[in-house]
Amino acid sequence: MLIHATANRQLDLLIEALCVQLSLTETQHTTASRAYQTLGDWLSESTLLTPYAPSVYPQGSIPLGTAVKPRRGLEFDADGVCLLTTRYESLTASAAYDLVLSRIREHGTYRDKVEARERCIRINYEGDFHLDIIPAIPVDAASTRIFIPSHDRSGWDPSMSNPKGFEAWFHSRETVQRVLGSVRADAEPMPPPTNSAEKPPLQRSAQLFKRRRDVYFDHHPELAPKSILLTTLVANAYRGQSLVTDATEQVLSTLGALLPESGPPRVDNPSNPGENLARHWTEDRRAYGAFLRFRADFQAKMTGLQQLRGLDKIADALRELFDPDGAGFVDRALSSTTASFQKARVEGEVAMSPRGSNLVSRATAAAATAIPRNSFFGDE
Amino acid sequence: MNARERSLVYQLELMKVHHPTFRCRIVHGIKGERLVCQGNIQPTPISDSYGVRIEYSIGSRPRVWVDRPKLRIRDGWDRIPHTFREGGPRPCLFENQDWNPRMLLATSVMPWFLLWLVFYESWLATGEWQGEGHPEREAKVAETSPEVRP
Repeated sequence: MLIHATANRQLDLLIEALCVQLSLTETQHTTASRAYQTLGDWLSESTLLTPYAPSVYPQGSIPLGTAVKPRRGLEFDADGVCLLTTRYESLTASAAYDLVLSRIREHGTYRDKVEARERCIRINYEGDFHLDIIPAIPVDAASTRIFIPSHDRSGWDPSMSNPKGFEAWFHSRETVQRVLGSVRADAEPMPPPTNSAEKPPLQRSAQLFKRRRDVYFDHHPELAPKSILLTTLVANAYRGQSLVTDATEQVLSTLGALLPESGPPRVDNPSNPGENLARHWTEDRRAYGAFLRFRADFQAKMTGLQQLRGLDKIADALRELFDPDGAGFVDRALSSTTASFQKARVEGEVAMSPRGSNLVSRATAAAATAIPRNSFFGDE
Repeated sequence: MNARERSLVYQLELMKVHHPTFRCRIVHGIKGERLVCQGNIQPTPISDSYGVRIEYSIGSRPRVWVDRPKLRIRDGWDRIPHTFREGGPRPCLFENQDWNPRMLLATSVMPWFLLWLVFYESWLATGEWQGEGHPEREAKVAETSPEVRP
């Protein structure tokens, strides 16, 4: 299944491989999940915290599946919630924060690695990783909504928050629609998503949007949309495409139709009604203007990418979009797709099209011509 | 002539069958007859399209050229892997034992050419030749490459 009749499908394999390169490594995942676990255990063993039955759970890009490797040697961060089960009246935000902070500081290993930040507590791990933990209490027993400290920790932020609800909403948007009756004569039958064992196309597409944001707003990070806003926009606009490239184009064009030139819209937090995720755009109109330009530019570049022919030209365009630092993400992605092609060639899966002058996958073209074995040679 | 050897006419007819868009003709030159075939190939839907030429005369190795776009040498390299300098650069598609005159150009040299172009484009992009080939050649290429891969 390596050579497909449509350019889109072929390009998609490469973009999919790029997303794999942009994702956190297995090791980074393991590091993060151990960190949550260890911290959770440590907090629950505290007698001072016992009455609050503390639990630590991940929030943000890791449980969403949308995490991307940080750029240029920055640390990757994992976010977590430390939920203290108590009533609003029984524990102030600053007391909750101090309880968690002092318990973390009691730990021999964490002691010198803890950083008290505005609302969260940061633990800096060896290597390239930190964990931001935010103390929280439940809003009520019936929902996953939580209160987190206000910025100055003088009280619980009344606007509430619902990371678990957001996760559930996001994952509910991931469903891939099977398109029936739209198979083109020169295309193979609609395949199942190639990445079903890996990540759904929505997660991949959100990764591309986040990386493109990081690249585009490199010199103006203050104008960049926050991940939760970007992720919400992407998931809202996604329509079940099975290829990450199609998903990304769909989202770009839907956003183009949806976002008014006249001024920023409201973007409700789907898991926390009443919270406008786009308030930054209202407060700073430059940020909204910059987002409109970001979208238009991304769309134009994706359209241009589809029209390019030649792996080297496509790789150049992908580097410009997602890896201008030349960190090697695109090279490694292309190497992996070429390696799959070579493997298929060795296994006799690559054949010559019956129509002549191109290669096809033997499995999908019945009348294809098998290729005799050869070794490329050359002079000194 | 070896009885099982394919004649130029036979090769030409089979080229027409498998590659109907190619222009093929038998040219009579000082050194005898040779088959010349020209046409466009695009190995995969995202590959570039290449105007290519194949020449073959009985008793010699088929030779191939990329006429357009011109083959390019990646920055920092002094040559393209798996090519012949003489009369070229010309892609070198096979070792002597891979081909014999009983084989059809249309179903051997032609698909090898398609494969070569895929690895050539990938090499242009990454600096890595992933199509394997003669190991000595590979080592030589790696030595002349100034690039250090991470």
